[in-house]
Amino acid sequence: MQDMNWFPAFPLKYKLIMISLLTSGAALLLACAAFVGYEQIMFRHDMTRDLGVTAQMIGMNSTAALAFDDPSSANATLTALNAHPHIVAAWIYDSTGNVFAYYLRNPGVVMEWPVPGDDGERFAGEYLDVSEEIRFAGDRLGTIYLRSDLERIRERWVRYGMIVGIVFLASILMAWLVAARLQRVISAPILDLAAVAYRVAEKGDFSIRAEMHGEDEIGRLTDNFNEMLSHIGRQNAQLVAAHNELEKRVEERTIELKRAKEEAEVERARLRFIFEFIPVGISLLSGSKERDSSYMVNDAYLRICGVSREQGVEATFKSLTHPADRKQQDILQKRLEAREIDQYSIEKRYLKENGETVWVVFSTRRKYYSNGNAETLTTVIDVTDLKRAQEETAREHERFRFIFESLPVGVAWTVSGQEETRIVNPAFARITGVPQEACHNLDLYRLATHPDDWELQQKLRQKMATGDIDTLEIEKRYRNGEDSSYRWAVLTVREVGYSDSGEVQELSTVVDITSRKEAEAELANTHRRLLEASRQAGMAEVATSVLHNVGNVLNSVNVSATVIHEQVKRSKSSSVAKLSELLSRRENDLAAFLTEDPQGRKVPGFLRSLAEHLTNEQSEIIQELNTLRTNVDHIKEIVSMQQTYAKISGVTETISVIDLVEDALNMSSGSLLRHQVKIVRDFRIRPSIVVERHRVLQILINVFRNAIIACDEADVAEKTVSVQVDGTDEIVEISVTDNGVGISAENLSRIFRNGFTTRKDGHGFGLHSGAIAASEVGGRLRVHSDGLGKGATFILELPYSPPEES
Amino acid sequence: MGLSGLEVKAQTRQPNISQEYAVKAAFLYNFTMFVEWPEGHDAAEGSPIVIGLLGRDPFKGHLHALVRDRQVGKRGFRVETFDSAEDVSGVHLLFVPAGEEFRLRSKVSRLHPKGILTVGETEDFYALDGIITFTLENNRIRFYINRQAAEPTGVKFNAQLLQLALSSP
Repeated sequence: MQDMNWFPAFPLKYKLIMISLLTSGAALLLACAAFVGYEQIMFRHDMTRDLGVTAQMIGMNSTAALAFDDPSSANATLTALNAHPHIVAAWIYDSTGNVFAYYLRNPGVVMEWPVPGDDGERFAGEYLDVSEEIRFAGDRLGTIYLRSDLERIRERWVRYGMIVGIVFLASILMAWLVAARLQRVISAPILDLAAVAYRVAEKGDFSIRAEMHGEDEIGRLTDNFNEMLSHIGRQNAQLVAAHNELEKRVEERTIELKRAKEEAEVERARLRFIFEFIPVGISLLSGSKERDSSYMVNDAYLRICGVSREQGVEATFKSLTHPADRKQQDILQKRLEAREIDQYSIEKRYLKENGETVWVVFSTRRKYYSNGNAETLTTVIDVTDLKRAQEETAREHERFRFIFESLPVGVAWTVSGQEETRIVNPAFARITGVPQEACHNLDLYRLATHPDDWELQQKLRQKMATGDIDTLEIEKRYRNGEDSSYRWAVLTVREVGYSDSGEVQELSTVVDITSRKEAEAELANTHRRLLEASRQAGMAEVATSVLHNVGNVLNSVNVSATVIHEQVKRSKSSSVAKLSELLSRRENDLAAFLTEDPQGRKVPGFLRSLAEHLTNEQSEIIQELNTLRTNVDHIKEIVSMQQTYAKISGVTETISVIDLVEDALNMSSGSLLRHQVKIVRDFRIRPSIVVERHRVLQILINVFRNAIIACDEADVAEKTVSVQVDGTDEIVEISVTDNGVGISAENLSRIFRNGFTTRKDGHGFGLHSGAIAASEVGGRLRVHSDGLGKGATFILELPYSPPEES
Repeated sequence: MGLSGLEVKAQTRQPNISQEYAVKAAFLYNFTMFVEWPEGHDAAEGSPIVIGLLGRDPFKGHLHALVRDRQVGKRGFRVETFDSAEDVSGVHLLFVPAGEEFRLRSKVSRLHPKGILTVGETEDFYALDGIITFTLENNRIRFYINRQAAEPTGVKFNAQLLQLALSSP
């Protein structure tokens, strides 16, 4: 009887009375309810029937009104319902379903009108509706509806309630009186027993005994109770002792537990602290999919993934994983789910909602418990910065590698004394001929090097080891494969020490200079050939002027020869033969002829004039022949002069400077004439010097040619080249000044360089060789110009030692 | 069988019949049900109730159609037309249309002893002692019943019918 918990609070006496009352009351209530219920049903039935009869009557009285369409009559009929106090409304509908007439007891009350078709009787809300068809002579003319309130039913309820209440109260009162007397039969012994028990409990005195009342169950209970009391009395003493002991232990245990609990609390707080403030993202999923699970995630995890705590469920983190990393994780996750593994760790990326990518080390570990639960611990460490740094380093390395690999200069790096650390780039391997993979073998480098150079290199290394030099630089030769040829290279070795580690690094570079060397050789060769060409060019110049001079003289020779020829051709010598023949024919009478003959008499006169004529002729021819001979001598002279100059010898001789200048001018006379250049001579001294004649001539011819060309290129009215001879006690200066194009300041310094020329068809060798020749004879060649368009002066200085006074 | 006025209004869809005459036809039919003819007037059980029209037919055959298939108890209906009052016999109800009163020859009362319930629609007819006279009140068709004139016919009126009748013009 759990729902009677309140029951035990009452004394037994009242309980017994109450049981009696409840029992009789319940029976009475049921009887009353049945009675009242039946009455009400019957009453409703009667009420419906009464109302139906009334409806039928009213309907019958309305047939004519309906038949003759007279609603006012029907309304009058309905008004008679005033006599029925409970009928609140009535309606008559015609056969087509329209309201024909109606009656409302209280028009102020709003109510729902019946709808045709709601026939029969209905209890609707607080009303009873009854409908009856109005028929006349078998034809349906319409329908009448009557509505009654339920006031009568209510009245009856009140009346029945009062009756039931009075009957019930009277019955209960009677039952009470009876039960109050009868209950004592049972309650008295039990109350006695209870009083004894109360005394025992209150005083703790187990010696008290209850009084026996009879032999029924209560009597036996009293007996057993007494027996129990004595039994308890014995045990009580033991119990008290045990209890005291136990209480003490409980107290101790409680203190212990409290302390342990506090410690656990501290421990938990500490763990919580670590969990929240560790910079590692942690999530812990407990439970299983089938059952309730809890999901814990710390702030660091949320921060790393850029997720708010509201969003922070397991699925969110999964969906943030970079698509490229998902597959890998899915594979591992499947294996974890299949219990093939109990943990895994990967590097992966999260794509934050704000678009950033985060690199993390994602580790997860699952632990299964015997009760079927599992715990999954996931940690996430943000390694984005590390990853970036790694990438940066990789890029740097790549860049370094690229530079190192593609440098056209061979580079080798090593920690000094540790050959195994050596790295070399492809260019180093190519130039030295030692493959990259064999770069740790020093012997190979020795074998690859020209033996002479190796020796030198070792010496330099020795010097470097002793600290005499800090950089080794050597031009050396490397073997060209199996070929016996070599290639040239510059090897540079430098050591760099590090103070912190004490380690010394060695950096070697090697540059292939084979082509430079070849170019140098080629240049030397060209230089030599140019020198030769220049010399030949000088000789040709001389030859040209000689031939020109010879040509000029030959012209005179030709003229003389022609004059002589004409003279001889026109000679009167044939007249002598004619005269001789005439005289021979008259040999016999020669005298007669000479005296008598008229023709003969003219002979002496003729002979006289002939002799005179021939004498003149002879003297003319002789004169012409003299000229001829002089010219031929001139030619001879020219040729012999050429032979003198063309001679290549280091023989020095003492010559007049003026003669040298004049010879040079003579030899350049052809060019001077051709280019219509005027020569101005200004000989201030007339020294003689000891010198190699042909070399000085060569220089002067070059200088003159240069001056002529300079004049030619400049657009000047009168091309002039002036030659000045001057000097001191030690030198003689021959200055050649032109009014030609001049030389720009920047070119002044370069003008004697090999290959320098400002002319488009020049080879740039003339002045260069001139300068060389000048130094060879102990002098030098200088230049001066005020700039472009201002002419130039070339000055040849020659050593001079004045003749000793003897 | 009865016909309510409203029902008749709803049925009045035939051409050439005014609303008024349609209702009047229904009323004629209804009168037969609210009166009782004296014993002996109906010679044979099952013989039809005869409605007579004096002179023209203002219903233009509508009355015929209305009662053709109807029965009261086991009795059917028949409509007959008469030219003069002398010819009228064997009818239960005689309708005298407006303007046809002259055919009655001064008094209608000669017909009443034959048990004929006379029905008209003019004041003239009422003045001629016609029993039931149609009139219009508030645009509604009503009727007078001259109970005195009905005395000789022996026809008994239903109390409700009497209640509906207007007292006198």
